[in-house]
Amino acid sequence: MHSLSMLGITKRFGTLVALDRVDLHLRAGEVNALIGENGAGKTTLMRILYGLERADSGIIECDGKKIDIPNPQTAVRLGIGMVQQRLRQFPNMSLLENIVLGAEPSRWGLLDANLARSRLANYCHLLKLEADWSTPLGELPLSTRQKVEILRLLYREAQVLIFDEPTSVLTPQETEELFGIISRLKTEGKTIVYISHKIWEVLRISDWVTVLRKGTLQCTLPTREATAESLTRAMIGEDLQPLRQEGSSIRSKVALEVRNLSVRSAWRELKSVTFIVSQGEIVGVAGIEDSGQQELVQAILGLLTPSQGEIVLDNILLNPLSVSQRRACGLAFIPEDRDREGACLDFSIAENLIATRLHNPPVKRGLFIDWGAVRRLAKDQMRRYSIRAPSVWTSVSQLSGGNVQKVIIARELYRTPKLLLAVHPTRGLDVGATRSVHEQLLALARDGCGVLLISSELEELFALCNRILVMREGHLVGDLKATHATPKIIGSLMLGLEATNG
Amino acid sequence: MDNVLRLALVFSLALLFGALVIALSGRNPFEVYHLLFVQSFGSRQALADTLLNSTPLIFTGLATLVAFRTGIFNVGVEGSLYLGAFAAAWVGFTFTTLPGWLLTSLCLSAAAFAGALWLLPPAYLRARLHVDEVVSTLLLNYVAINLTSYLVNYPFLAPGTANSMTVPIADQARLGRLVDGSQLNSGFLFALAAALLVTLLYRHTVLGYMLRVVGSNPLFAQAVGIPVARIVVLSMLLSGLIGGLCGAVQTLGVTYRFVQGFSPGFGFEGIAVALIAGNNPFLVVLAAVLLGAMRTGGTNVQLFMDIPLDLIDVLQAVIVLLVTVQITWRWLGGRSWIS
Repeated sequence: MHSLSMLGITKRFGTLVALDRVDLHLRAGEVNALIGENGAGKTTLMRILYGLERADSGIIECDGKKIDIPNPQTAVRLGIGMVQQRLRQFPNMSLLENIVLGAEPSRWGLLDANLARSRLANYCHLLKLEADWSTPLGELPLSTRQKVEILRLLYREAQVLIFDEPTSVLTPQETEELFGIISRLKTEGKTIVYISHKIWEVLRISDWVTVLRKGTLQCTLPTREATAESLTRAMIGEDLQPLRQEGSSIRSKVALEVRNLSVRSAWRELKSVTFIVSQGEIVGVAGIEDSGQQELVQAILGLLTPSQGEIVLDNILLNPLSVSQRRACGLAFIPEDRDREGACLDFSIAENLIATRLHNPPVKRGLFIDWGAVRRLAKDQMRRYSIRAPSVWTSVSQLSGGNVQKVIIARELYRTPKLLLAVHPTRGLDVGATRSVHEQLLALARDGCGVLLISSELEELFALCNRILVMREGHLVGDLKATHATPKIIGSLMLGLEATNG
Repeated sequence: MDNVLRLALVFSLALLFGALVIALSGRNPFEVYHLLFVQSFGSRQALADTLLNSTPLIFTGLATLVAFRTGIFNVGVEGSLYLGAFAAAWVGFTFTTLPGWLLTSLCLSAAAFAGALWLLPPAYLRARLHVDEVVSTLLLNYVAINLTSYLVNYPFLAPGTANSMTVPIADQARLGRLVDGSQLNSGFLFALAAALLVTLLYRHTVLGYMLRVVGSNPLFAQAVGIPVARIVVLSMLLSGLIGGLCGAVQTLGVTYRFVQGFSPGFGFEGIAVALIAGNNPFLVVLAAVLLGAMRTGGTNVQLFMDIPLDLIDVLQAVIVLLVTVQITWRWLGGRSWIS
């Protein structure tokens, strides 16, 4: 296969036009980046190429010949493979079984593991994969599982490999490793399609870049001719203004006070943590993953019972209160896991928006839900937070990640809370969506709400926070004014290299 | 609409498979199916019998559905049914001096209460200690069957009868018959009302919303402040309540007394009904009527032709099997759907 072209591809979902006459040429042996905001149509376009969706109109050509891809099996036969954003694997089956499943080499009707292993040896070297073939996949980290997925495609002799936002589940080190793999695949002569919304990634690894915005093709150009600014403009249709940071909005009154808090979960223990968040203040929590942030959040929300210490929100002791009572006191929560804790995917946008206000008018009328009022409320919220969907009754499972996050934020900020617990609120979001979340957090602080922001991105913490707390192994090891802190100080506190206090 | 189509598809495939079985046993499937249809829908009386047979299945189907939708696999409806039937009978033959309407409602309330109470221990264990409800409710069924069996054989055995049954309930407690020549009674109307109420519950009430959220995504429910454990308990109690009502309607409308082992497994058939209906209360009624029709027709076909009632069990098993493997349009070459 030398070249692959998609011409005039159009796809509609109901009244929403996901793709409008989009052309895409994939050059063999090169990294073709596909970039755009969430919901721009990148994934839909590739799902069409991989046979998961049918285009309403438009054709796909391979070496000038028109081809039809009605299902993924055909795509695989044509040498096209896709590493999906949410890996579809069998966690209970071994690494080897996951790779060969569906194309097992067999002898006497049994799986010939030796043959499979020898076929894979080369590729393993390429991917620098070192793992026991018999390990159940579920026990391996996500980065390894992603490699297994790549291996699965190579095993099927894929020539075109589509990566759908592969770094959204990876740490910075793992991302570097993946880039190494992609460039090695390129030297092997594979054609790569790299879907992303992170501009620096695309500038780093791609040869060609195609920009989509709201389902329409903006431009295709060689990456060396692109700049971060030009791509941003093409993606969001305007220049990105610097974040507005107007003076300090901190007030003297305390929003949240955590005193001597100890919590034990199945994984980790949080030990004697003490800090305050003032009204109008954004306090960041830095720390390497799983240093006790989860326990802190769950204790404040009311999902974990502390073994000692007090949590006080606006002069009310939260310890004896239930989650819904705490929320009624003015606590709001943007969880880390959008799809599981943040939203109910089977439910409509409207139903998701009312989840925290079931017992308040206008939602509740007697024992009943007033769906008319709910519809009006949801319509209003969709407009205010520019949630893109055909209707308020659209199932949340059909929304892109950015739009799901908008639904969550719209729900949590419906009545200005006194304290917002935001956990990785921009993880996996594109430039525009990240920006709008940041602006909302700043606006919230201006209105006097305290914000406790847990994030793994130091850039985000420095851009937004007044103070930064650092956690390590369940202890609070630093409480610094953002103006006094540097990434280096925070980094060494996170890793425990030296003790500094600001 | 998709749901109705799916139901039609599943039934057609099951009938096709049944036809194969009938043909293999050397009979004409068209003839058998024609007779089956005539005997279940073909006359006023046949139709009445079909609805009579579907009445308990509507109740048990709804009872199962209520638990399923909250993510609870309650297989203990059979137990609630026995307890409910006994409670209704006991009230019915004890307070014989009360007026009819009062006695009937008292019987129904007692049955609902008994059925719900029966599931309180497994509900509590499940919600607080995560004890698997499948095991606990399944085993409790046998406790319920044997407990009522003891009650009816010793303390409450009707004097002078050889069969294990209580004395009859007061005449005024009986549910009215709807059609001459059939036992079809107003219990069927109660079943329809129950289906309507369950629909209303899920579509329009705050409680229904909470029941659905907990079934769909308990982590989310917890994070937004819905008391998950309480909702789980509530859904099981509701399931038991409907199961208890089912028993009462059988007692007040059909047997007029408590009879040992009176249920041929209505509770278990309710699981099939709920599965077929895909957790839609309206489809529960439809599925229950179809299964009820097969039961009615099958019984009569057995009389006319040399076809055992087991054929009906085969058909039903095929239906459940088809539903359980989640047969999809995709498989048939059409567009995909998610159940």
